[in-house]
Amino acid sequence: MKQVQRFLLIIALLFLVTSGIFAADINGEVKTFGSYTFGTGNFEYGSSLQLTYNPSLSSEYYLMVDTTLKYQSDDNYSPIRINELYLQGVATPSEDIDFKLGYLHLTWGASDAFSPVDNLNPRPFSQSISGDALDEKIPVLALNAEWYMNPTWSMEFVYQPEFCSNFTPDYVEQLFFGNQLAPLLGVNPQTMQIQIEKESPDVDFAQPIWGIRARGKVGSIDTAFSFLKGYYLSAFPYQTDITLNTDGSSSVLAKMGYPEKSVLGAEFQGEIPGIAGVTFRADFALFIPEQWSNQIATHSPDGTTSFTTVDVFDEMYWKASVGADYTAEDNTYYNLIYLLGTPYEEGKDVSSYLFLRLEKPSPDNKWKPFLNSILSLEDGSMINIIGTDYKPKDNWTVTFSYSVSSGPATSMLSMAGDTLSLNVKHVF
Amino acid sequence: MYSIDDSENPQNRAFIFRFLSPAEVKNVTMLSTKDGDEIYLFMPAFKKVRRIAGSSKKEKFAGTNFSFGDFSGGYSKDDYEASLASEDDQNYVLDLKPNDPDTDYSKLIMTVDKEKFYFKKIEFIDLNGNHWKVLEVQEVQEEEDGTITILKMTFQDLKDNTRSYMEMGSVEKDIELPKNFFSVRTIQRPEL
Repeated sequence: MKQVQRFLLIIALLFLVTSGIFAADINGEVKTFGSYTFGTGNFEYGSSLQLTYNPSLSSEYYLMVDTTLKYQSDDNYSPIRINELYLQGVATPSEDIDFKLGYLHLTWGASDAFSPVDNLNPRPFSQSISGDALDEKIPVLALNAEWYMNPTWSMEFVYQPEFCSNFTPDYVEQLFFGNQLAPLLGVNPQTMQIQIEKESPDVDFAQPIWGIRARGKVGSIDTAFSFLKGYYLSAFPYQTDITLNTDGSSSVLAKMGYPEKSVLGAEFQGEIPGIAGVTFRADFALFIPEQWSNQIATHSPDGTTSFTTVDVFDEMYWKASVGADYTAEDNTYYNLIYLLGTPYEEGKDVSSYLFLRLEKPSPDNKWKPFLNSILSLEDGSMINIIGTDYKPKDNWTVTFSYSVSSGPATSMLSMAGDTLSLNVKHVF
Repeated sequence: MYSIDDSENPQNRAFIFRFLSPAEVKNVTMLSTKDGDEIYLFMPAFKKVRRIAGSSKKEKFAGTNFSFGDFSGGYSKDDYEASLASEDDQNYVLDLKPNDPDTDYSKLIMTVDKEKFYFKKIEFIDLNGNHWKVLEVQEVQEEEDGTITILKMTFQDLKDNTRSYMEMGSVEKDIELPKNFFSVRTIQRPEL
């Protein structure tokens, strides 16, 4: 009850604050959301206020301040967030160069979903599978400069002197790690006491994360080729000590780090010849990780210790997102994407999915029913989300959806459960 | 909105269109080049430029009754076979039969002002011969050289019973634009 009161109070405060802002040259949005998961009975809710201020300092320089104040009942990354804070230069220091310097969201890739070349920003954890939640990113301190070499081609550089990892709550990390270890040890993951220590990579001005991306056209196809030298944004274990106790329980101390990786990327978007109205978007990424293995020491109750080595990364691998979208004459929108790997899968865990989005706006555009489906081609599990956007008036959107998951109990998709969600958004 | 019109070479036609309101589409910017064959949308929220199929010019744009093609194509004499259907003291009425076999329209009926020579109204007839859409010009501005600039127009969809309204705040002509202005680079800028 206390939580609900606090939630309502925050909503009221957000609306009070925003009503005074309408007159200023600030844009933003107020959002409130709630979802109920059947089975677990989990009710997740929250609200946020995002404010964006993008004044020009001169004809060549601009400032971007984009912040969010967010309350959510579970797993909030931070109640006050800087989404972006940067200085932007246009046609400076030379006519052919644009740049941004500061805390940035850098988006690479042509694909509409889970682009494998979009590896620069870490992400906050979310149990929600809504588009808004999946689009959230944590900014990185970086210089991003683009040199327009000629009317067709440009070269983009990213220099990032600070490492920032994905945000995953401790209990989620322990849960995932426990589920990975349990089959190896033949123990119940719920009886494991897990402690995780993480070590960040040495990234600084002399040893930055960096990337380069050439963008242009090959024939009528928009194309980009990229290379990124950086680190995985999620931690992987390199040393694990397991102590098995006589009562069947076990305690685990895991040391984790962030393996180095190089990513070669290629992006394409254009029209499919002979099929009018269809736009294809395809991203391919070749991941070249450093050799990474987990040394596992298991201490048995009888005093013996056994050692095992599990290779986490021992070879390069591909990820891809290949899709096409089409709007029919009755304004129905179709988007079908083949995914090889999601942002949560790396190395040997990469698997195949099909993603489908359908939208059918009403003639007056007030209603937009939609269907989102993701199907694992590996184990047949799937999530189907059916819902609708409703626009009662300009700048207001109400989204109501119901998601159903199915498949083997151990699959990632089936673990999402069946969820009812309601989002209300006002943009100003 | 910035546009370049080259009647000698329609492939040079291009325009950039940026929404200033409502807030939910503020700064969404469209670039159309090569006479509408290549269309790009920049959506600030997604921080990337998205290609739209040039051949999907029939799609409605941003919830309006205007299609991408209505913004990008103009009504070039090269795109239609024109014949005079009737005339009165003030207007010519032309039948325009599209040359493009993939069009949604069997013909357009264009009412042209006899004195100032601009279209006042276009009726769009669907492939079954029914009236589908009507574009009506409400206000124009006559330039010193005699050319006409449309300032206000409505576009009505008779099947959906919906109507969109477009108004130009001000119009400047022959302005000098930077080299390669009609480009993907430009539409990503905070100010055009």
